[in-house]
Amino acid sequence: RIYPLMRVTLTTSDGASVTVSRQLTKHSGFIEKAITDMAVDDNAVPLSAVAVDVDDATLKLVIEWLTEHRDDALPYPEKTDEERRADDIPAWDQAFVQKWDTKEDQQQTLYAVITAADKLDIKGLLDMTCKTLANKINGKTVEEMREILQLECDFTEEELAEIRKENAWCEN
Amino acid sequence: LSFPPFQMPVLLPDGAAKPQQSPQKPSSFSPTKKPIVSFNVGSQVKKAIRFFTCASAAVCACYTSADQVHAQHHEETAAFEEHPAEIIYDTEFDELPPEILMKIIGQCDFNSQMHFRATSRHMHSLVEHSDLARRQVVGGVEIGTFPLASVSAVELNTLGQEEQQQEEIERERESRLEMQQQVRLRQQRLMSLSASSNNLLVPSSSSSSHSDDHPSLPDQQQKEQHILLRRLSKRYGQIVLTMDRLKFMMRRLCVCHSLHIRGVPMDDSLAPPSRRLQGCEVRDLVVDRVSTVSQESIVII
Repeated sequence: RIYPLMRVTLTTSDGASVTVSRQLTKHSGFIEKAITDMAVDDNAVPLSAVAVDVDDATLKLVIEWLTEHRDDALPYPEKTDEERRADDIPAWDQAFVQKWDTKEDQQQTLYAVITAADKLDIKGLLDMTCKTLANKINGKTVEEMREILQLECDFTEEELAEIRKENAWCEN
Repeated sequence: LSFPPFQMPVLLPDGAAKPQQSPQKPSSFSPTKKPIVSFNVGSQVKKAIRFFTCASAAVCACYTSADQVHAQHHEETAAFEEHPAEIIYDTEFDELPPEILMKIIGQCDFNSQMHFRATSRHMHSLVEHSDLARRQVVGGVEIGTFPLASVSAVELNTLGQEEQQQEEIERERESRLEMQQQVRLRQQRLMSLSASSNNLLVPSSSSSSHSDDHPSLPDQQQKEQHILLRRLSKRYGQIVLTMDRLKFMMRRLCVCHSLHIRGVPMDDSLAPPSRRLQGCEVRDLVVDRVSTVSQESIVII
């Protein structure tokens, strides 16, 4: 059982530390496992520091998302390929991501949060951010995808011709 | 012990000093306990003043503890607000873990997945060589050999239908072979009749042309070898076809992009697929863009 008043201190990769409620960290598989591995008394307030490989600015965004989703049911429901949809992002999450769009490096912010969600094993956040990125590239041409994802075309001319031939049927 | 009242001298404008009487301390004065207020007033007034003093102190204490509680509530964000930091942008898209990349493109539609495959060599390699990617990109039918014992009852029903159709095909084949044999016999008779002339017909050539249409595998072996079409969907489940019907399936599906049998593109080997499959195992044979193919439409073929 997780008591709302229980707290855990997280130490970020750049040396900052923040104390959060266990009600928030219960969504993170990584933190919960770290606490379990420490085998400390759950009543200790705050718990021993858990080091996370995330910078504090990204962790702030993660905590903001966790705070909003603190009452979400656990475990996070696993969806099959058929059930997986990219257009079912909740309104708050959409606004949360839109807020980043005003930033200069919005794409990198998204990558940073995706990486953080992956490292901290927060399935809901990872799912939402992946869907957001998928929506950005869905329905785009190859060139548009390269531009959005900032990928360089490193194919040779022969390889490109072969790929165009392979993809010819799906261009129609 | 009683101390005399302390008299602080006051400097007058004319330069003379005049002693000033300090306010009297209460009788219960102690060096360790400082009185909050010390006035030489009556006990009732003192009590009233002490009451107000204590009340104000309590209010102050309450405000202080409320601030502490407030600070505790906002402790989670306080550290960030006091020390604002910027996100360290050290991750590019192609540096994300492969599982994440596959999760992202798994959310896209099929055409977008194919486009994604063509963005860069890294992404192409990721899609082409990852089983996970392969299955996700396919989103349709996966074909492979399978042990018959592993097929469920529902699939066996489908298999029964396939067997019936297979029998019909075999009957047609036998009847055609009989027809061909009759034709050959007639030709041989004709050739024997014109024995003096040069024989221009080579019976083996006609039979070799048929070998492209019919698999060279023995019938018994073909019966044992089946193709499992596994659609990654709860609705259609697994569909079982015989090897002989594979080429009809392929023609029906039309789109044969990315079909490879041991590296051989199926686009090239589509015409006589059964023959090409002879002796080699069907492995990871994948049909793309078959979302419109249902079990019903496959049975109709």
